[in-house]
Amino acid sequence: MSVHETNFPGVYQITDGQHTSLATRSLVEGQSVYGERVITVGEESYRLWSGRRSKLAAAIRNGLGELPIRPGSRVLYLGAASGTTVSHVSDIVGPHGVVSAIEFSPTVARGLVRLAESRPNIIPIVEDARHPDRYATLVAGPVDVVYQDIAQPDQARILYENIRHFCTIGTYAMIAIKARSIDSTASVKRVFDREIRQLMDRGLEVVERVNLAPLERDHLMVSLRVVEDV
Amino acid sequence: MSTYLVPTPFGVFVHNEDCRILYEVIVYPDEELATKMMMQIADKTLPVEIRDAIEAARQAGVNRIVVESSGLAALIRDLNVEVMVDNASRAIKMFRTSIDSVLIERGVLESEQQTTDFRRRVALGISREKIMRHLRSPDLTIKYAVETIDSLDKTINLLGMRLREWYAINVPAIVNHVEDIQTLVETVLSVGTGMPTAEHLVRAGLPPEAAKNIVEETAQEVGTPLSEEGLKPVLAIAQSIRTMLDARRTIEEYIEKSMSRVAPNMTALVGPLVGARLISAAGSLEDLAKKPSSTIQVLGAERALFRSLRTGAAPPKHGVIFQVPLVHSSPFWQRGKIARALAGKLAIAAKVDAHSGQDLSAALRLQLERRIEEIRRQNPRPSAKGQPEKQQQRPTRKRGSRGRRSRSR
Repeated sequence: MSVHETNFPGVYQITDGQHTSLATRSLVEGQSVYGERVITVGEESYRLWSGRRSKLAAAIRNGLGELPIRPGSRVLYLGAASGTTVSHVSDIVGPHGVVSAIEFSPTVARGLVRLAESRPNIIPIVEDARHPDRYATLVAGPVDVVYQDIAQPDQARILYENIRHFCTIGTYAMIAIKARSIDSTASVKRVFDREIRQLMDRGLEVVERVNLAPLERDHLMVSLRVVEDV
Repeated sequence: MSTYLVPTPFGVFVHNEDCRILYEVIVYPDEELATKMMMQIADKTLPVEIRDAIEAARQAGVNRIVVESSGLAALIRDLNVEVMVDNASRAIKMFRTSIDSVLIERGVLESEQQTTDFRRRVALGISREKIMRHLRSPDLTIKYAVETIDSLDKTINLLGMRLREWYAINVPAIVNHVEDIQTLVETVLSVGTGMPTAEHLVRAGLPPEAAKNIVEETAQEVGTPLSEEGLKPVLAIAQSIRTMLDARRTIEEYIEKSMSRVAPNMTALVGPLVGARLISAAGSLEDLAKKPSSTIQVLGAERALFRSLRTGAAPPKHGVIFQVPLVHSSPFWQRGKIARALAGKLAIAAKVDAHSGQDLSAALRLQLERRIEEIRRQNPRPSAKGQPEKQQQRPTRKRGSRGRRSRSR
């Protein structure tokens, strides 16, 4: 078994015979957050990161070219759910970064709060991501990356609202678009184009788009950058 | 020059356009106090810290204050200052991103690490409180209860079928004549291996006439008495069905009690069980109150609704509310209209239940009854439109205003 850091700082590849899988170096030694395998190599423990459980891992597996989330980043995570992906983002940004994790459903957020109790770099917020003004003062300082995984028909608008509240030129945004949550009848491609167009019209520039098939159906991960004053 | 008010976990600040702090009420390092203050804002009650900060500003001659959120604005409206909401104020955004370093520079906070840590602990406190409240909310348990009833009904039916089949070896007549599962279970448990007597059956809840028929029929039927040993599993099934029926009654009573407390107006219109199903389908009473009546009308018929959107087939007339006798016992050509009228009243009832809690049930019922009378009078027989022939024409596609425009797939 061998561990290599990938091109993305903080993201590792673990090779075991024929199998390779992504992993992040656990911020909390030996912790398994949602039942993922933990592998200990020397002093460090690594948590396996499956593309089936996390869209961000799926995007990396499917050839994402650039990962704006890196050690030290301040991340605003919209749609944190029970914290599966959040835990890996927390690993990547490390002790000098911060993840402000927004999740609206209190039932789902229980897992997130449990996670945040064990990790000093997660700020859990149970609020509606549609209204950033309600949690503006809890989100720490300027945000470097907004990551959004919210299956809502107005997800592009939600992303923009948050960018407007917390970001300036140069901020990155990553958005997982689920075509079926936006329009259950229109063609997938058209939905993707329409959502991306909305963001481009508001001063964002597309860096890259990665289709998440076959790990996630009808999902697209889009990386964007704020290029105009918001 | 505008003056801005920003509450943060560290305290409440009043600053000017250049982000210079004019007045402040610091709560740091009291984590509990900070959590309480932030929770009060979320609950739309005015924290004393904000009142103090504004009072200080007002005495210094500030008469207009800009805030970032409308919720906050509503809180301070009564404090004798003019309040403006600027949802994306540059000054406030700048202040928010610089406050940490400003406080560190001034020595209020020691390090960035400490800042993040305090913020995180306050956020954790707020999140815990919100989750706890949610778990305590009555709609959550109503939702669980109604979902459990559905699971119980399925299970009872399934096991009832097994029981019928198995016990038919012993006394086929009972199985053929006893429809109701409750009665069947009681009969099986009291008759056991032997032959049923009329007394047995009446005690189990059958009318005397039916009991007599069964006894007579049993005498002529081909049935093989089960052995003691062979009856054991059958009795076990009957026992567990009885337990489940008891549980179902307990849960139903619970729903009735909770619904008459939580949603009296909806309960008056559709009864506790259907009301609970609507809440469960919407997620919570508050979510239901936000839905338009057209959505309430088809809640629970999502599959039919999306099929209709995809293929242009006729949309569903009713979802969960079909279970209301008023809807399902009406003739088919009136059902859609009645469902629409009922959904309209339900939308009002849900809003009243969620937000004011007044009891308007009598008025709502009366209005609904009037409307239904009118529907019945105006539509005594099926119209041409409702006739089956229409199904053969391709229904014209309605194009809504909400962007469902794609035909191509």
